[in-house]
Amino acid sequence: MAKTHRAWYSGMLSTEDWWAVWLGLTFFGLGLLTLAGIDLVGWIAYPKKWVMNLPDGAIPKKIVPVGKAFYALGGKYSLTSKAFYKSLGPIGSILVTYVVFTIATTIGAYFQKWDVKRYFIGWTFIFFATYLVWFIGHHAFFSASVVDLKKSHFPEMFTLSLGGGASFILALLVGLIIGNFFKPLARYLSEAAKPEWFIKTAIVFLGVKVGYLPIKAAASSQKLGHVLADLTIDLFIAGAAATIVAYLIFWPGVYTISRKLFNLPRKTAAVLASAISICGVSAAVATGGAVRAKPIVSIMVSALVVVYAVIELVILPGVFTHLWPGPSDPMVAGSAMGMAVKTDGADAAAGELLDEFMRAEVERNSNGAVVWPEGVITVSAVMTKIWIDMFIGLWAFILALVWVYKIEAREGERVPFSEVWFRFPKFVIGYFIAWFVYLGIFFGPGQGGAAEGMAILKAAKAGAVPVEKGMRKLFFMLTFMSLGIITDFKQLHEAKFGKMVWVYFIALFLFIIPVAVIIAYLFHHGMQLPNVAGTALSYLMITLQTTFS
Amino acid sequence: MAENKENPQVETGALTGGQVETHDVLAGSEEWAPIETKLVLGSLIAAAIALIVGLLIVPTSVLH
Amino acid sequence: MFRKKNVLKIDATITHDGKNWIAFNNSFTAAGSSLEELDVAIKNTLKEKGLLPSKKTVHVFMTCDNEIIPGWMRPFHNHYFNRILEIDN
Repeated sequence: MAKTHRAWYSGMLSTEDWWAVWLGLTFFGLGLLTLAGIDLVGWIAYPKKWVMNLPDGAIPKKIVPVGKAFYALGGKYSLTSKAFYKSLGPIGSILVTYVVFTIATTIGAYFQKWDVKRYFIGWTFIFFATYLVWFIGHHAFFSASVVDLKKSHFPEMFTLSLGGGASFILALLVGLIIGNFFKPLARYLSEAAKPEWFIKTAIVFLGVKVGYLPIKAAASSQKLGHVLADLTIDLFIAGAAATIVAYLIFWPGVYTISRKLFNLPRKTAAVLASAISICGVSAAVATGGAVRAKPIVSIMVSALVVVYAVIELVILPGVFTHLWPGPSDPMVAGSAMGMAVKTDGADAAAGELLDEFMRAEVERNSNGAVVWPEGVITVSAVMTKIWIDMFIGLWAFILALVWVYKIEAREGERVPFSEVWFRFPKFVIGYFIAWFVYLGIFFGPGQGGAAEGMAILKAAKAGAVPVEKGMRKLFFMLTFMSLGIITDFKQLHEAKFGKMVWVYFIALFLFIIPVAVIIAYLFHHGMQLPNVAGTALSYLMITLQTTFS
Repeated sequence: MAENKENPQVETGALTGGQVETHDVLAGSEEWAPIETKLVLGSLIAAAIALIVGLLIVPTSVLH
Repeated sequence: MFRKKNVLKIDATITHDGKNWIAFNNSFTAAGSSLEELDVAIKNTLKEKGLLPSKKTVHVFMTCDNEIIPGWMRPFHNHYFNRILEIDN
């Protein structure tokens, strides 16, 4: 049966984009039930940093013995079912997590008309491989920071201080090993290795996080709650401006490089320009359609995009942390990441890695005196990406008008305006709903963090944390693993890409990335992250040089 | 939604195997046309305007 | 993009087989290696089949069969394009 988009609601039950909304909003909705005293999300299994045995004198605070390496988040955060979720234990919570998400995602796979049996087997493999990697990556050697060691009264111990980043890198590595050395297995798993679906769902969960950030901060100080609320809104505004400027510079730049320097045909140059400039595969498809290119143009460009995106994911978080822009400008780095890394999956994953690396770096440099709230840098990377995803629909429409009415000017051809909607990224709707509902709770019944609203905010927290922390991180992990599985570096050697490989390389590293950082700097330089070092009750504002102080 | 179940070309799906022609993806570059100059310049001018307006109104920009 | 009065709308699906663009519905099928050729083929086919009423504008609204985008790419973006061919008869 042909998959066509004619009515505005086309694809609501059959596309992964909408299924990210349904999946994300389902768990977001379940999380909200804590406001009514019902906790249906606390089962999510979350890792802790661990060692085989605690050394003498150490206390199991931030670092625990191996038997407690996972716990149900509700065992810590639930207001109504804490004892029950605690009783699940590590294995129980992982199994419940598996059952719930297997049912939820398999329903999605069924409606998207995937091979359900293959999806189920592939999903099961990917799920447990992901949890295994999550476990290994949280060994203190990889993940523990100086602050963790201090809080756990650990003796001197050498660690890589990678935080949760270690697990992400390991997940990507394991995925890449499968994708490049066990190709028959990778082909089989590809039915369930869906990085875009997982990341779009994770981005809806991230919407919960953005809305929850002020609620979390308000637990320590009402002022800090408002600072975080303002910070997220500032990111939203600055992200929009930076994205529009960047796109309008990137696209003509790469188009001209492709046409003048590499002598590529118009349509290939247009598709490449969109793909390299902005959102990778989605831009390649949207632009290919807009300029009426034969589908093979988008396919070839897309195959190139996914490989380069993973290269960027591997290289850029380290470069942005240690070379430029560095920890002095975390929001610039995050926003630039969103503009530089193609595909939602690779970008959000790179943003998450950057978040882990940056926070670990400032903690190490300051010997624990400066601690940044977790996830804000990820939010900055995703915020620019979301604007880009929305903008590509509009840009593709403009290109369609230029191509259809000017460049090719076929008699009688018209461009339907509904194209803008069909190209709109639907998961963004889920992200904004989740964000604004929690923001509404903060400013509405939560009374902006005032003492009278604290009971509501605490109830909201119990439902938000399992979603924004546990489920989001799980879906990020699944994204890293799946990205690796579907990435085959051998594709780069295939001659059919020809000079496109070099167009991509030059445009990306010598044009897109530097310009992205400069534009991000122009719009985000004024933003600094608040220092939340110390206990929850002693959040201190050390660096608030910004307008929202 | 219209479809033709009797159309064999559609039923077998499209871009698989040797059916695709990749030659014209890289070859056959056309002459640079004036409309392309307009598109490129128009985009850059729009970027410049967006940059100026953005720097003026975005509270976290370097101008504030 | 622009709607006219007295327009007859014909819905069709458009796809690509690797070489040709193909437009079809339950009443007609037309193909061409370029969209220009396709449009000519559509006009001729509709005329032959008597589907073009005289003194009326016809809009052939072609919705793309998005399965021309390979499965692995559809999660990124699942819409290729829709197009309208306006035929004045």
